[in-house]
Amino acid sequence: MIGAPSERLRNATKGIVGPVLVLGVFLVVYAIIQPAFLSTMQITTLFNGSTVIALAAVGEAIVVIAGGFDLSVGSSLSVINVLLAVHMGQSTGSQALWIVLALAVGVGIGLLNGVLVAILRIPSIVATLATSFFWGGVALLVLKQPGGSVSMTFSNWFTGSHAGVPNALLLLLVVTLVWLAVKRTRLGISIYALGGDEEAAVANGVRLKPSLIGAYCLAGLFYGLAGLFLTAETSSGDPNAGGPLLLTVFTAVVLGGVSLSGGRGDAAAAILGAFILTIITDVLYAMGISSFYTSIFTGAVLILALVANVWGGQGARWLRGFTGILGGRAQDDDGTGGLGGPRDLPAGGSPPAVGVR
Amino acid sequence: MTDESRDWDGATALEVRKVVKAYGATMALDGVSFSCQVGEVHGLLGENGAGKSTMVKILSGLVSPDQGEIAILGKIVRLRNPRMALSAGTATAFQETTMVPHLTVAQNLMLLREPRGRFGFNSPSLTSAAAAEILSEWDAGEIDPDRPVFDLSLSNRQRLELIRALSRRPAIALLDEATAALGAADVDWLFRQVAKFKSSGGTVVYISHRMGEIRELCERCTVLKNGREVRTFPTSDVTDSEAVEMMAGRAIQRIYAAGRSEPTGSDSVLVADHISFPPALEDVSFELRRGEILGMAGLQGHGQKELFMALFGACRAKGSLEVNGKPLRMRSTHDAVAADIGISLVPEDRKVEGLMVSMEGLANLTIANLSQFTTVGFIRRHRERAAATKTLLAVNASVKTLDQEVWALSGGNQQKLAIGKWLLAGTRVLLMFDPTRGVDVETKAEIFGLMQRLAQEGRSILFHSTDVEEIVNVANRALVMYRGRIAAELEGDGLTKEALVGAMLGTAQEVVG
Repeated sequence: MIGAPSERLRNATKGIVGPVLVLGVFLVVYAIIQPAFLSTMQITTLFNGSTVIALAAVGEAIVVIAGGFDLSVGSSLSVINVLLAVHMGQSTGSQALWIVLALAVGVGIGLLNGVLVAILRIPSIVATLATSFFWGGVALLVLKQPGGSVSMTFSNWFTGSHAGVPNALLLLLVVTLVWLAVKRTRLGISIYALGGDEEAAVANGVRLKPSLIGAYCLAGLFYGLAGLFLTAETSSGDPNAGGPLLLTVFTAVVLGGVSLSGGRGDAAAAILGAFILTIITDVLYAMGISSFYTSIFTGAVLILALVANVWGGQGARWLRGFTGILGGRAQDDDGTGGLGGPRDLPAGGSPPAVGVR
Repeated sequence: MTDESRDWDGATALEVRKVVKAYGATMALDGVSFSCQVGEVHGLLGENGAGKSTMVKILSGLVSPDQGEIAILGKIVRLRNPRMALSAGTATAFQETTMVPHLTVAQNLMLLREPRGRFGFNSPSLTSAAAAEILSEWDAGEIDPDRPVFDLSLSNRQRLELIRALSRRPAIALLDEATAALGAADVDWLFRQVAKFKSSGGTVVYISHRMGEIRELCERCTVLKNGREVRTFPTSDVTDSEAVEMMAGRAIQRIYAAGRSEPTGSDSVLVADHISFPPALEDVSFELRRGEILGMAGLQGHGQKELFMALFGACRAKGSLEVNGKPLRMRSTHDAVAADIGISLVPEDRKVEGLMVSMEGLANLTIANLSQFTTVGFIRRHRERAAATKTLLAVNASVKTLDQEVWALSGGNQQKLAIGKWLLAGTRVLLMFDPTRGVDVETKAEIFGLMQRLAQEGRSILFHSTDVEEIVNVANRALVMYRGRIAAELEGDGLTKEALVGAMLGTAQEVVG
């Protein structure tokens, strides 16, 4: 039996209903507090403020779905940012070349992470912690302190708008399409299978090494895009630009409904997560709360989002967390054996046990 | 190694020759040879630990043999990973299913062989349709291909595992304890699918320790014991008891030499009243008497694990517990330990049983009881060592284990340490979850002997085993879990293997009375 069309639709949209609803609520709240928000300029500003995080979060989400963590996202952005600010010229040719190079650097950074994790089997959280400091150091070598600049034309390619449609929106649509296409390839299904249950995936012939390396490279590609956008938005270089973004990126991933234990969620939904976060922050500013509180606030949102996911699950999932602590591989992924798994999970509900590879 | 000139019989589907696999000092396979013909259903029979599962892992590419060779349809193959095994023509339905929980039924069935739609991308609708077709072809059309696998019952997951293996049309399908989670109707279903696969020219290696199934399905079978093949014979030539004798040798008497326990008293040490932890546990009540070994039977996933966790305070179940007549609030494992309840839980993964594997035996034994050896915060090493040594002697473990790191110990010694830890803590109620999983026959006998001794000293043991034989031979009374409830209580002469299995499959609920 193939599901009825409504069921098919439900399955197709399953991962994003939650984030879309949350985003909708915050948009309404924002529009009420700040009616001026509805102007084209304001919308473009909103997009430009969210897109760096959104692009980086798509990359991070791919790694998380594959069952890993990538802590090097921030310094990857920094490296790309300073390279562009220092080396990119004013000519269109140079700018086109450096766009390609920026993406290549992103992929290279992902390749290194992928090799460390997939071939040398270093736990991703440690491997990417190390590469994070490595690239942070490289960024400082390229540019010691904030400076450099890029041309307005370059900035406008990314941050401008056409006929009221922000270029950022077009970019995000393209990214979403690319991800949806990847999802439908062998690599895509392998990423989900490995993140869901690595042993089961391998037993079914999934190629662990190329698939994981592919996931990290793909993430790197999106970091490259994020780095380009960051540079266009700030039109200068800062070796520490990316570092503080790590927490924000992870929060966007979780708000987008991607499970931190891997195998579940949709990377494109992390874009929604980024927008939710930007709007919450903007609403706070509008209410007169100092920007000094931003990171305290973002941390709290991340914890709240995780807690909401845990509480949304059923008690049995708590047990799985515990058996995990005892060291056994949870024998039965939903911890409930043949008695039917939790049926009414919130969209992209995430179990409490955070799997780290 | 690759002697192609050897004459392989053209009709031989699988030939396993002198395959050896050692894990450290343990010989899992010690030169096993057997072969099966094209179109045959070949039984691979043996006790737990005989080497069946290692054989399956080798044939499905999860483990590489140290020595020996394998030929499929006359060609020597090297199965270095599951992918090579699949392309060489084997496909396995594993006992512990290898379904990815958050993918749908269709995504799991069609994993890496998804039909391509436009532009060469996988097409969810075509995948779903192809899965539906496969499901109905294998008489499982009622399973919705668009449902995530975690949403399915355990038996349906196991059926999917079988369907996935057979639908790949491998030269050789390996079915590893494929009926472990199936009820009687589903077992019939499985027999029909195997027959269908066979009639289309497929070869099946059917791994089981259930003689009844082997007899019904297999033309010939090979018995494994202690990592070697005992004999290959036509199934009809051998009686059940002869087969059991081949599987167990004379060890069967030795394992259970200690006999069944008789409770030393009739008073209840632990009373569980209406324990619920939905959906895994529903309203479970029972009493554990002084000096009793109470068996707890049930197929995997019917609530035993959750019950043990609940009794140990590791999950917040509803209901009440009484220990020695006093009500006990179970908020954490600490409450359980304070009430003299100990647990020995062996998860699937050996080497981890509530032990700290990177620390030596001594620390593992005493860490839960440090206050016994501490003066103003400092540990008195002599006293600690003396007490630990005494405990080790009590559980028949080698004194050498004190200074060895736990990961390097044999499964049996690890198990003894886990038990010893709770003895040292003065535990009166011991929860033993499948304590003989993966230990050799001799250690099994020792563990059962130890259990009987502990019971005679007045300690009470709740004992779960996946092996029905063990429960029948060790416990005097047994409870059977089915779908999270206690489906039957069997005692004395009524505690037979047949009655237990019936209740485990949910076919004998009337026993509850």
